[in-house]
Amino acid sequence: MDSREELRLIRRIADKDRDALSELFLGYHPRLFKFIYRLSDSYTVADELVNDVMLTIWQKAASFRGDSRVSTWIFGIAYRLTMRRVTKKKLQLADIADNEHLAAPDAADLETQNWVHRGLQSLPPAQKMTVILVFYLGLTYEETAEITECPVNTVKTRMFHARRKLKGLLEASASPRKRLDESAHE
Amino acid sequence: MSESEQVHRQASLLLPWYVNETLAEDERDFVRAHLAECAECRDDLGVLQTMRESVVAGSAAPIVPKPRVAELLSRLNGASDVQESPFVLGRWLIAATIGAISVALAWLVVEVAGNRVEPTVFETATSMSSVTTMDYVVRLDFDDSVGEADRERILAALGARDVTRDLQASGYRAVITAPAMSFAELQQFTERVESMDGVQAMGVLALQLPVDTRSRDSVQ
Ligand SMILES: [Zn+2]
Repeated sequence: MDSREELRLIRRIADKDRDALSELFLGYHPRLFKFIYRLSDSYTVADELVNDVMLTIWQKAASFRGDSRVSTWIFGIAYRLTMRRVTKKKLQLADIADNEHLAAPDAADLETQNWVHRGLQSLPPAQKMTVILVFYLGLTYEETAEITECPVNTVKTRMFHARRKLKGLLEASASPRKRLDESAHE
Repeated sequence: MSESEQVHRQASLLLPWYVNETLAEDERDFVRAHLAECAECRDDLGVLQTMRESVVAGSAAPIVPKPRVAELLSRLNGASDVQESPFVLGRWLIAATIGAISVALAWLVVEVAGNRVEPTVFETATSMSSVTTMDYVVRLDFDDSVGEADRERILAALGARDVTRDLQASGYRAVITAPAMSFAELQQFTERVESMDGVQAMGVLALQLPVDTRSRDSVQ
């Protein structure tokens, strides 16, 4: 789905065209699900919120002015709904039921990914979510600022602190093969 | 801060977007030039690349469930005109509640974690066979980008009165009279208001039987 087509769908949704909503839903579902799952660490929350995002799109499509990309707008809605839910329920790690849905990780990358994954989990929600927006969605700093509704400087600083924390973890837990000998500060 | 420290700081802050390849050309060249002469930033670049790989690949990629299209479409009924009137739900409730309500509950709603609310039933009122409307004391938070005029427009659309600005600049306290609702309906109503353009959050602070306007000064 290219961005022009997406914009046309949004216009149709604004006119309460259900087929257009279904089409957008099917096109976005896997990406939205994975995105919310990554933000919330909960399969149940992701499954539930995907539909809530689409419902919000249905309600707000008429007010979409096209200042940003459709995808940025949609992921922004997903971000805010998830953030609201996560801070509300103080979700931590995935619950037991969630783990049944996990695919087996690639063994070769397991070691490195473990510390990054653990590190990401230990970040404050705002930092963790910023990392996901930047690296999972590949957003520019302006887009990240727009979605999180905060200044560009805040976004940059959040990424800086997240990196510093993960770097510290890496250095503490790395095997000798991976240790970054020359960066002993922090 | 010396000039070279300043360059380091600027480049360092831009590194994540150098990694995700979304920098403008001049910024990218600026970072690239700095990387050539800064070992610390080269280190950080490696850390960020690993972070990115991990986030993209994911150590625990979920199996995506089937989209529940039918369920979504069934939820659209009644949700379509929320922008125009958040009271749609409430109106048909009048019919359902007249004569049916024998007990009115009052809630004390406490604010937690920013703007979310959690209810605690603290009082059960006496038998009220004719209660059809209630006064809801609400706190409304707007998106920062929403101007004064739009805030007033939204408040007017909600029929809010006795509006006072809350401690936080973005927050307002107001009284809204609406049909009596069950708690689930109240939650639904809250969600509808929150889905209005410009509204960040709504929390019900208190719920009371409608009081005489002349004595409403006591409303907090
Ligand atoms: Zn540097």
